[in-house]
Amino acid sequence: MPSFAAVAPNGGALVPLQQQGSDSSDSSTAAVLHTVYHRVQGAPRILVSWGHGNCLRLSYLQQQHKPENEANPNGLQPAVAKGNGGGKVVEIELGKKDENQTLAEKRRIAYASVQAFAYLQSQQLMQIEAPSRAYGTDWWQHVLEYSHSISSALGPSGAPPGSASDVSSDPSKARLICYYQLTTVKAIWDFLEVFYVDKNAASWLPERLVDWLASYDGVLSSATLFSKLANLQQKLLNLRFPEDDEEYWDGIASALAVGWLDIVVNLLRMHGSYQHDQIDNRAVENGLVETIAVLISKMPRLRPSLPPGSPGQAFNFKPEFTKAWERWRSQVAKLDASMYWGECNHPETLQGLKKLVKILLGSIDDLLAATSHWIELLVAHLLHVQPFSKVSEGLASYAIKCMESRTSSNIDESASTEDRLQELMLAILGDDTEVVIAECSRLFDPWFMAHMIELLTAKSKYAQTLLREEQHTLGGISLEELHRLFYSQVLSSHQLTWQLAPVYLSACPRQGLGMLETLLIKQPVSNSDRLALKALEVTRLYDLKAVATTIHRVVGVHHWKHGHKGAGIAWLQQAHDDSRLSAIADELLASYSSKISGCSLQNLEGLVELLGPELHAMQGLSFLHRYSEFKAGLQATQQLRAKNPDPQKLADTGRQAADSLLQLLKPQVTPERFWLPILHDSVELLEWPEQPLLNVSETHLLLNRLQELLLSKVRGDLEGINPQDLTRLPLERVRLALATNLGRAMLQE
Amino acid sequence: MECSSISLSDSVLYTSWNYSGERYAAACNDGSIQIWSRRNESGDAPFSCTGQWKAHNGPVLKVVWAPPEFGDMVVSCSTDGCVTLWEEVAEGDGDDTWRLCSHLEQSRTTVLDVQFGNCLSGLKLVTAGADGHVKIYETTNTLELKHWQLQAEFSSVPALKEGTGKVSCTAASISWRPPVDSIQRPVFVLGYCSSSRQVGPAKVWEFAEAYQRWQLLAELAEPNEKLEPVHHVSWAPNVGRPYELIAVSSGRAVSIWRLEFSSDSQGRISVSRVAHLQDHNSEVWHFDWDMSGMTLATSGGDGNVRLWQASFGGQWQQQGIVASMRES
Repeated sequence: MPSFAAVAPNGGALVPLQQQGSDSSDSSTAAVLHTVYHRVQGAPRILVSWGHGNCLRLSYLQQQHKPENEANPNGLQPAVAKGNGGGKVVEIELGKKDENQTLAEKRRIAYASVQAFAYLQSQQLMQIEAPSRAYGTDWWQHVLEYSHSISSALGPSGAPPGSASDVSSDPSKARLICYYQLTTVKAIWDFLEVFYVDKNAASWLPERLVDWLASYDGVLSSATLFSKLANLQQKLLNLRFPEDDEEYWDGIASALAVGWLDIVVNLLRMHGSYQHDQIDNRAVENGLVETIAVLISKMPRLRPSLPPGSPGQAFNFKPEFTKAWERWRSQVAKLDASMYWGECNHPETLQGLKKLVKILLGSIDDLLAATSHWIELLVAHLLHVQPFSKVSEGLASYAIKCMESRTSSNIDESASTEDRLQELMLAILGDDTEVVIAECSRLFDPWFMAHMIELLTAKSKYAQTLLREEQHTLGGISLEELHRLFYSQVLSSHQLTWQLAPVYLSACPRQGLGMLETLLIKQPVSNSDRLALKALEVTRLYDLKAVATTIHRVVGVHHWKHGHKGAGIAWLQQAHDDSRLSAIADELLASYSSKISGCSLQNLEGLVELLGPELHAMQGLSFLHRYSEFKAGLQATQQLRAKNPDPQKLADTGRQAADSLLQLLKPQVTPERFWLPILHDSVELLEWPEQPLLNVSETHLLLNRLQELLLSKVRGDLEGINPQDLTRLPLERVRLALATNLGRAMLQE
Repeated sequence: MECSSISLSDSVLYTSWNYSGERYAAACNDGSIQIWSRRNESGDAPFSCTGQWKAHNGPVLKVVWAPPEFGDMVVSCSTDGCVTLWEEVAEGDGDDTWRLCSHLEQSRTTVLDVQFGNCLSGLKLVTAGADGHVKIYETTNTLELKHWQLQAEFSSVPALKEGTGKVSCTAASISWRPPVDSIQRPVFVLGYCSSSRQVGPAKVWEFAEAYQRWQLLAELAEPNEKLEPVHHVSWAPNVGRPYELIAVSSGRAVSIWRLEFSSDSQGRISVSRVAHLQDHNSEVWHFDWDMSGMTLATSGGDGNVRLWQASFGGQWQQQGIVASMRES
């Protein structure tokens, strides 16, 4: 597809970042998007980092002087000159922006359009899964529905000044600017819809163009009929006899040329001859005006219907229309040849009305004079000169002719944005899809690009191949996917819109899921559990299990490290992160061994409970529970002893603690690395002053465990044990206690 | 369009953002590290300095955040030859403090760069010394990263292997291959900045499981190319491209290299240069890829940040400039 690269902006740039209108024709020099002011002395050293989506974060640092000699003894570099400035960090959001469109407005449109987009995607899935069920509706009809909802999200349609549906007369200036910006987008959107989506439009295309022009004439350029009529409206407020003014007649002629009949009729009714307090005899004059007005309100139009109350007669069936039109045209011709013209005393009225009749008769010169923009001329031509022609073919060449006849008379149109708009409309008329894509990406933002592709591919097979073919140069993705990815990136830039991005990413077959994973992983989930839950919901929707695990893990570790131990354990359990949980179990055990104060013990017990039975089954860590029993037993004996109680009771508690100890040291219960701290703790029981608590065989069990430990040390496979703990002194202490107990137990037996 | 968030002192040498872009670490000339964070949950409060401590006896050259699964942790390297890990934990009454987590004694040579790789076999740390030696540490712990083992040590300069030469480098840059399908493979690219010719171009290293050692996968240079010191390397994120992209700045230009891992058993890869961008016309200090790996932002000695994208025809083109100017 070399033609695409040739017409694309900047020799084939995909998604221009530059502001509209500012792109230079010379592709070798890119535009300056932004200038950052800093106070760093000399040239700054800039560190670049991308934040969310399209946010670029730049750190401007003071340039440091490199040490002359690397072998600087202590490695310290000479301090740089202390400026008062220092560096700074700035965040820049890239991408084309409409300065007139507020962020809130952008978000509103983003939220309004996501539903339509998602609905269309689900329709598409349904068609693929069960084509038989889609019986009755063609694909383009779904797209048309989608197009309507997007178009209505873009705001209300405009209307020419003075027409019945004109609402733009009263809102404040500020609203008008926003209105203007939006309607350029909306104008092109609806224009695309007419040509690329609506199959029905072909049969009444001229009338579709009349309607479209009525809504958007104002945004086409600064000098259109829209502004002409707006000026006239202002002027009419102060005119008693408008028929004396040439502008009045010009305005009527122009409105008639492009088919805005309601304005024509309204304006004609302002004619002075309708006033009751007439001095002169204006009966003939009034009769002529009224005849024209009636003829105009009877004008046959080839369209399904007309808005209620608007002049003209709608015909849906072409032969009927042809018949009616011929009859109506002969009436106009008859009027043109009428003798009454001679009796009209008001020269301005005579001239003005004659002009209207000529327009109705399709006089090219008058149509040329009555219109200013080429598309107005095109519409006038279709309406009055060639009402029956099948216009879908050759429309573009027709349009170019109109354009040429316009540019010769109108030289002042030179603003680049307007030019681009003309190019784009011409391309749409000519079904030149490559140029349409290129011009749209130059003129509009990623939102538009991501959504308009649905319009282009609605029925055009060529556009489908062009946009859906996987491109090797793009890394295997299609243009359609590319624009969705770019729009998703724009959405990801903001924390209020990132959650819309998954809808678009899920429609990207190649890179969508990969990008979605990146997007989710980069969310600051550790800052807020709410955000984490939201991200997890997205992972559930799109079945991203690995990402869900990572999020659970990130949040869990964050909580654990920042003192929310319970929450940390709970999150890590959901991540099924065995290795971290067992590390936590170890840490808890270490805290057990180190402190036996009541309060902390209670806390720890809570956490051990939280670790839950599954973990114990999984890890063979049931000893943690037993260990907490053992510790509690030890503590109970200490408390009892301090109170100086009944020796029998004391011995019973001691025996209980010893039982827990023996439970702990049964085979397969406690991992070897915990034996030594347990044996240490047991010294107290072994040296029970009143009587030996453990009998000979029990003492042998403990001795065996100690022996195994020492053997492990010799073999050198002490996993998880600090060898320093196995030095002589602590071992001797345990050994001595064991020996003492053994002796006493033997004596007792 | 612009929003200014943090003012830095003159002594800051290097900075980095954490995974979510909510926290910022600055490495200073006086051996200290600063941490900047937003105080509130919703993330719209201004950044403030929430931690600052003395980390090294020499200027801190790099400070890098650990993957988020390991908590709030940074690793720093310095001219004092040490690599230290610091983590933020709640102490006693719930106040967050930064504490030394691990201290990897290196040597007397400056450590120029350090980067984490979160591999399946455990977290790895690659360090690049000024003497051209690369060390790879690894830990199997997941919660407390106190104990690290030196997994491998090799020289990135062939001449050093025979012990015949000695090089000294002024900067180094390491970039891991980003995870593919959530799996981080032990592959990274490393480039050195040195006046010595022996150092060579940026190189891609891979841990070969079969031989249990790190081996050279590719050299990012064309045959007979005049080699220039490498300032920065960055491996592009890949969300589904069939090939990999690596940006390398050497001399006064940025090159974008394309790596294609063929699927055959040989495991050969083909390397080709797809772009050679010289618009900065001065040293290119730093750059970063966006989340899709489609846009590259580069910064150079001309004070500009330039944005690059591949066109429809596969040509890398400049898309825009963020210029800078000194306030008067």
